[in-house]
Amino acid sequence: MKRSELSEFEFEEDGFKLRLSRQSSNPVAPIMQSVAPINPVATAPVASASAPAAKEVAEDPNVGIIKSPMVGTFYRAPSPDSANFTDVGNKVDADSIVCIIEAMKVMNEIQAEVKGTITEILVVDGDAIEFGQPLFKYKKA
Amino acid sequence: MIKKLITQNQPVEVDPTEVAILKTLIESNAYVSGSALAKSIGISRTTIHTKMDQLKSAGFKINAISNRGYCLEKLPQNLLPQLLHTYGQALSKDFQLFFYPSVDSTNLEAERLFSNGAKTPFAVFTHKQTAGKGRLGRKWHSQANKNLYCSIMFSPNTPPEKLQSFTLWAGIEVCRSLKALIPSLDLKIKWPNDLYCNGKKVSGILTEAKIDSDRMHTIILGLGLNINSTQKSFPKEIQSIATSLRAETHQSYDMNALSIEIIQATVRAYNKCIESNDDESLSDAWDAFDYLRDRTISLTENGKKISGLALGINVYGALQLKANDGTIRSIHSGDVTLKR
Repeated sequence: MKRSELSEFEFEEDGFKLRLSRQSSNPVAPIMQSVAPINPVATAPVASASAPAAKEVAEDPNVGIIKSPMVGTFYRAPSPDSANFTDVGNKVDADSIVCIIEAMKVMNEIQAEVKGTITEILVVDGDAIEFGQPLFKYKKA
Repeated sequence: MIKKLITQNQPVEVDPTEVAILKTLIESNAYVSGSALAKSIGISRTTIHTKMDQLKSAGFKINAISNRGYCLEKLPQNLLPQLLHTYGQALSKDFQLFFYPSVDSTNLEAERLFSNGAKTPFAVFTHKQTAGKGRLGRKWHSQANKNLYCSIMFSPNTPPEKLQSFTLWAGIEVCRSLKALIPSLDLKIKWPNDLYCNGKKVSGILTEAKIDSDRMHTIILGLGLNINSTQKSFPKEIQSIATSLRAETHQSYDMNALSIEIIQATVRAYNKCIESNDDESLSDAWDAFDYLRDRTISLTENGKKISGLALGINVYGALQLKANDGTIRSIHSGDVTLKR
């Protein structure tokens, strides 16, 4: 680049972009940048304001989060007299039902979709839940 | 050796020949000769004779006159699987019907049928529920033989939001069917989907779905409709809040025909959601039956009691409540109480 007297060079193909630039006082520094979105890590980013827990997760690759796929009311058990679907320390697998989210009187049984052990329950029975809100923390199996 | 004591509750098997005979007799609405019946169904006259005896013992009143043939004297109003299947021919071919003399809950039975391999869509009917359930494990009083207890199951495998207004549409479509049959009925829906007649509950719907983050796997709509119960036959504690079609109109109804109407109404609601058919707006359709609109209501949200004025629903079906401080809130679940 120095020899060619170029100060900037950009190359783009199939979503990959390479940009080289040389500023007069700085040494040449290649900057690589992917145009295509990076594959999300195990836990997708969550709006930080509503989910402080998500940050910790990003730091611990062995911990995951089960989030609400919908807006509604959270229940830990099928009825007030029955046992909870799951508790801290319980193992879950993909088909395990972890809770009910009620919306418009549809009792939606939420499947864990993951394999692991529940380590924390982030909401309280009867809470109004937003879309994407973290419900459970689990340790990956 | 441990003996397996649990026996699976089996649905009643319905003889297709009996269904064919009933269909012919209902359609002709007159005497049909044994030979004509035998010929149209493709069986012997001896078999016709045997099947007639079976139908009589099942509860059908069939007149037989020599030289004229057979005639249905009066259609039974009780739920009878043979008649349910006869009317059920109006449904699409892949729709299955299961009938049980008694089950714990039709929603639970639907779940069991599905996990044992039954193909959706299907409906489960019973004379009697021993543990009929409502929202959050509440009991649904299920008097034997008089009222409808059924569950209709689908496996949509679509994003869950596609069916978010399904139960509201189901309430609307069931109301429309009942109004078409009984125009004098003062029928309203109390959000989200309890059906009321003159301020008393006539029907309740409890829907249960299995979902994960991107798909709704199955959905079961359970419906109780009080049809032929008398007001006096309800338990004391619900007499002042429950009613039936019979109590409202002083006549009784054919539960078999009504059952098929209910399935058709539910299927219409389901297809509307699955096909994303928005020819008609939910809130406009809702307005015709809204029991709460412009009334002062209260409900519990996040453990806190809130009250205000009901303003109808939004495009997603959430109840719009104008709170006493003037703010408008969207309610997604809860027990609404009317302030009188």
